[in-house]
Amino acid sequence: MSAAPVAARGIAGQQWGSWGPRLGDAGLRLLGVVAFLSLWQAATRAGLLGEAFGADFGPVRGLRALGRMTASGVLVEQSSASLGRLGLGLGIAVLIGAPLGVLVGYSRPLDAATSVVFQFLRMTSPLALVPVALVAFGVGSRPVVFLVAFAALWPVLLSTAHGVGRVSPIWKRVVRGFGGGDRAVVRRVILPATVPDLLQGVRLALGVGWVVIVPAEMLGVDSGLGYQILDARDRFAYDELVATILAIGLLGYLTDLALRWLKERYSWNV
Amino acid sequence: MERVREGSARRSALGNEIIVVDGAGRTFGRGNTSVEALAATTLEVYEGEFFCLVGPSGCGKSTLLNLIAGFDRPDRGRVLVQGRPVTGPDPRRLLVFQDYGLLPWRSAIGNVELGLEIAGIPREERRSRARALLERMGLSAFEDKKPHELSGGMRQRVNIARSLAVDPDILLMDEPFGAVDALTRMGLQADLLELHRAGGKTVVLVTHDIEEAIYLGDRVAVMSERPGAIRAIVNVDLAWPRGRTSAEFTHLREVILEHFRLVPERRAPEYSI
Repeated sequence: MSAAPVAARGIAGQQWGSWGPRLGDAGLRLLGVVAFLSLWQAATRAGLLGEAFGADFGPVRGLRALGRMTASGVLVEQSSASLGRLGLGLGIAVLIGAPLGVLVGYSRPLDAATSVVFQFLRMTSPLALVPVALVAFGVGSRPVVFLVAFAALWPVLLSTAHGVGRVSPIWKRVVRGFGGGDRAVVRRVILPATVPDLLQGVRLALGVGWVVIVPAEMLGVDSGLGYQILDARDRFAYDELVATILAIGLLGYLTDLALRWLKERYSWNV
Repeated sequence: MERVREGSARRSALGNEIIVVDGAGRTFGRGNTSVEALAATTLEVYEGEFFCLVGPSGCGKSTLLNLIAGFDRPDRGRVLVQGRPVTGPDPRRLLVFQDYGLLPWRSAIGNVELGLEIAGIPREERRSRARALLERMGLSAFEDKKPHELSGGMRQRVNIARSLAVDPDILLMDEPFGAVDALTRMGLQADLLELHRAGGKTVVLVTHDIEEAIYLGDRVAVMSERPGAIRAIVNVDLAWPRGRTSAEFTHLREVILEHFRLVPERRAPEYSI
């Protein structure tokens, strides 16, 4: 049984032997990015995406526009607006979702009573709530933050509840055995035990947060990366539109990387 | 219950009674589904003594230990430690858990510091005390390792170091070496014995391993099957180091095994013919 996979790995190793060690993981990643940008550029140049999608929609002009917009400060301004709303929305989601997740994780009756509602709300697209958000919070940043928080709440809550399930009762007894009270149990067992799951929830929340914030910023706000996309379109500045899309992807990637690092830092194995 | 071997000579050789279990029993559940885990039990453990409890699985050994540790209350009788009724856990009488209970996100040294943190000992002192204990346990090279990077024997050493860090008067050990291989177990037993003889702490150790009980104990209490009760208490008057194959050792083993044959279920077939 065990011989076959080893042999297969050996063959695969030989195939990649000439590539893998010379380039390494970082090199392969860079190669992938360059290949993707080249294909994209070639497609727009050759008009494969139709007459309307000319060179302005290609990555070369997009990256050039990205440089221009960074230098002029527009991008920093709009990114800060989006990141601020995203951070606020995620913060609210953590403030509500983490304690609620701990409660749901601990109480079976509460878990049973809330599971259908939570799953229902989780599957409700926040964008379907746009009219509700606008009626409830008026025009401006607040409905955007609300939509992000709404989308981010469920992954944070459910992931935290899952983390609480991993807390062994023995650890709590150890802390109590040393004379620790409820506060010591929360601080030295429940918090450190659930933080990795909480961070994993925040990571998932960040993903849906980015998905929600761009369309949300297309409604009734005059700043942010979502607004920037519409603005570029209205000015027929398609290279700036592409630049904004690149910026969103890049920021999403970097924020996820930061959270992944944070999660690894606090993760633990039994 | 046979308690003939427990005499006044023993009492004077050891210190005062530090643990008194006075008719304490524990029943779990109610009505038809209730299970009497521990029948009314009486015993005394003396200061500085190494006291072993042996018995079959599910005989209430752990229940008794939990009552002494204060994680559980008896529903009849009482448990006194140092003259006072037990009302809850106390770091002066520490339960050393069977499966170590190490916090997996903490390093070995971080785990040893846990009790000291809860006791509010300053960081510097915590570090140096934890480091000294790990050195004594032969784990200096592993102080930054997480529990999952350590072997079973090392984990139990960290666990014991963590318990000794808060300098308890009584160590309550629930099958502490149940999960390690035979050779590691012997090493740990020898270490524990050395610690006990150097430190003068009272130890109550629960095990299903008769040899372990004789090797370590000043006295060995033999418990019957559920509902658990003390069937006999055997004095182990052997000099150290105790050879596991000596005639006296083997004899004590026979004595303890004989007590197990007194368990009623074992005799039942004779009458059913």
